[in-house]
Amino acid sequence: MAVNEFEKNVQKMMDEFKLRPSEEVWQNVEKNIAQRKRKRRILFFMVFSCLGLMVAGYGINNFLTSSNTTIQKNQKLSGKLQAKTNDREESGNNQKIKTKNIKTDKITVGDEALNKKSVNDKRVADQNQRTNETKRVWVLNKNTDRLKKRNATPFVGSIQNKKEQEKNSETNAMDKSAIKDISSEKNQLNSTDVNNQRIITAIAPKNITINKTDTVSKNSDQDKIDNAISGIKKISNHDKSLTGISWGINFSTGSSKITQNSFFHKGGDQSKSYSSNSPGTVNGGPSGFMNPQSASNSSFAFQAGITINKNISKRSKLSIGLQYTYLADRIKTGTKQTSNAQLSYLFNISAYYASTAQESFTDRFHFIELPVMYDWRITGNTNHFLSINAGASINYLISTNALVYDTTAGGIYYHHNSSFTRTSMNFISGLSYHFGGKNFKLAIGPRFSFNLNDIIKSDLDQRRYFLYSGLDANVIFEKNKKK
Amino acid sequence: MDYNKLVKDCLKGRPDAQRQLYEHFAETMLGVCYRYTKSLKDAEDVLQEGFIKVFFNLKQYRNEGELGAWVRRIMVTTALNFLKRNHNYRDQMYFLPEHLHPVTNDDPVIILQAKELADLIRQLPPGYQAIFNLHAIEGYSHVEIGEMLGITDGTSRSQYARARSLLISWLKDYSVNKKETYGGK
Repeated sequence: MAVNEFEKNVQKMMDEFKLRPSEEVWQNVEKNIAQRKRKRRILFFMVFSCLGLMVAGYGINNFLTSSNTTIQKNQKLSGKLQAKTNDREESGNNQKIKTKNIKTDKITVGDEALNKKSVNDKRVADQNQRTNETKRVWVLNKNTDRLKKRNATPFVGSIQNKKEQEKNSETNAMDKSAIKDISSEKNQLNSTDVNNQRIITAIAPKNITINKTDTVSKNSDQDKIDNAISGIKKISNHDKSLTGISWGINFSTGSSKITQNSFFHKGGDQSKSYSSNSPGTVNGGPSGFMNPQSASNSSFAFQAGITINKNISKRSKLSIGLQYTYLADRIKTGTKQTSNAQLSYLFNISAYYASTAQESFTDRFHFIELPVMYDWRITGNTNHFLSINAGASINYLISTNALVYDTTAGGIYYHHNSSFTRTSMNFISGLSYHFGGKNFKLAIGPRFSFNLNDIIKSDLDQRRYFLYSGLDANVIFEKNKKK
Repeated sequence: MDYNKLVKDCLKGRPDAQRQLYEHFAETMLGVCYRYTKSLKDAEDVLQEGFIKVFFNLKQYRNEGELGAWVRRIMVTTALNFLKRNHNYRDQMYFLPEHLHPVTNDDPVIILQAKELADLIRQLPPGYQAIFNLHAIEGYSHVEIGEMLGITDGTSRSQYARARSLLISWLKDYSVNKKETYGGK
């Protein structure tokens, strides 16, 4: 019983035992909480950014794969047309040989002429074997024409014996059988040719038609094919530029400020004067005259980062970036006081500034920004052109030294990390002039951005949105265009 | 005070609610931390660490039981971890198995203030101090103390008996001295 009594007495006394901790303990606790929250937010932001980039990368990759297939098709088509052009040249040579042979037939004895012709035919046949099926069709057409012409030639005036006629008829029979063999292949390939012709018609200039028949003269036909090929090559190159992902370095410098209204960037926002409804002085005494909040003035700001660009159509492109953003605004404050103050927001601060406008103070904000921009080319020229761009970004506030206005003690400025919005959205727009060389392009132009969220949480501080306006410079590195 | 609302507000990350919770428990909890440590600075370090744990583990508090008891448990655990971690305490925290010391039936009249009693408890060797605090004041059983400190419950019992005996003897001396002092005046 006595044992319990002792413990009970001790317990009772110790339960009543209280000690007042120093203010430093709470400040450290608060600081630690803020740091941990910040770490969590940074982690969240990084994970979110990585996920965003991965999704964007996946989307771009998918788009690239489909575009590559189109390029390959165009290149195949271009190759076929080139082959046909070569074939035309060969056919032209054959035509010359044929004409020559006919002339020779008319003058010389048939044996010799036939030998020469058969040698030529053999050479043509060898060449034809080396060419693709399309070529063979073209050669077949040529040979058919040639044979028709030869059969139609009466050989009047030439001296021929029966043996020669037999040889000729054998040769003709062989040629005819060869024609029959190839004609079946020709029919099979006809559908392909029709398709090719459709594609060519679609991509070639309207006044160009490609005929397999030799009714058009060789030179004009060749020109038309050349035009068609160059048209395809142009489209192919254009497709390459569409599918290419380029990256760039972005730098922007200008001025920023925090305004009450996001769309007005006029110098010096004068906040409202408050009535004397101060919760009290720092030391708890009665309140007196209320100093109004200082005007917010523009200050130097800049942005720097990297961008990944992806052409999404002939005139437009999408870019995703990751950049550091420094924004600031200037206010007028009084002298710094290093004494504790209990604010209306239940913060305990160890130092504050009076709100009497005596000294200039720069509120500095350091952000990580993840912008997504859409860029649209206004002018037609692809080398030097103007474009307008617009987009949005997610900003994460890394750190700040900014002061917040409070009506305590007739108006003071204080710094407290929890008074600022950490993650916010931005709207960005701008105009760019693009120019440059083979491997890189420069884009320079004005940029304008503003916050869509309140940067300062406190209702007592009239400042709300960050506005930034400046000159933006982008260096875009492009892959070698020779390919 | 509506603890439920306070906890909810703290969970929302409201700084004013966090401050309110801190203000409500800080003095009592510093008293707890004070008994486990040898200096006020160490006690404040434990308090600070304990409150950080409180705010980051508040979602684990399910409104079952008293909030104060939950906060107190965190403070005690933090204090014990501090003792184990801090070499100034760790080196003196030896728990040698002793024969059970007969618990005296002496019941000294405690005429001193809470602060003086707390200071006497703090003069105990760290091992005794921790076990005395845990058993006599926090109400943990010797089995629980054994689990918390990684010792057997028998060791905890013997250490406690020794601590209690020491403290009673000091209390007697302190009371006598105090009477003499007051009588002298």
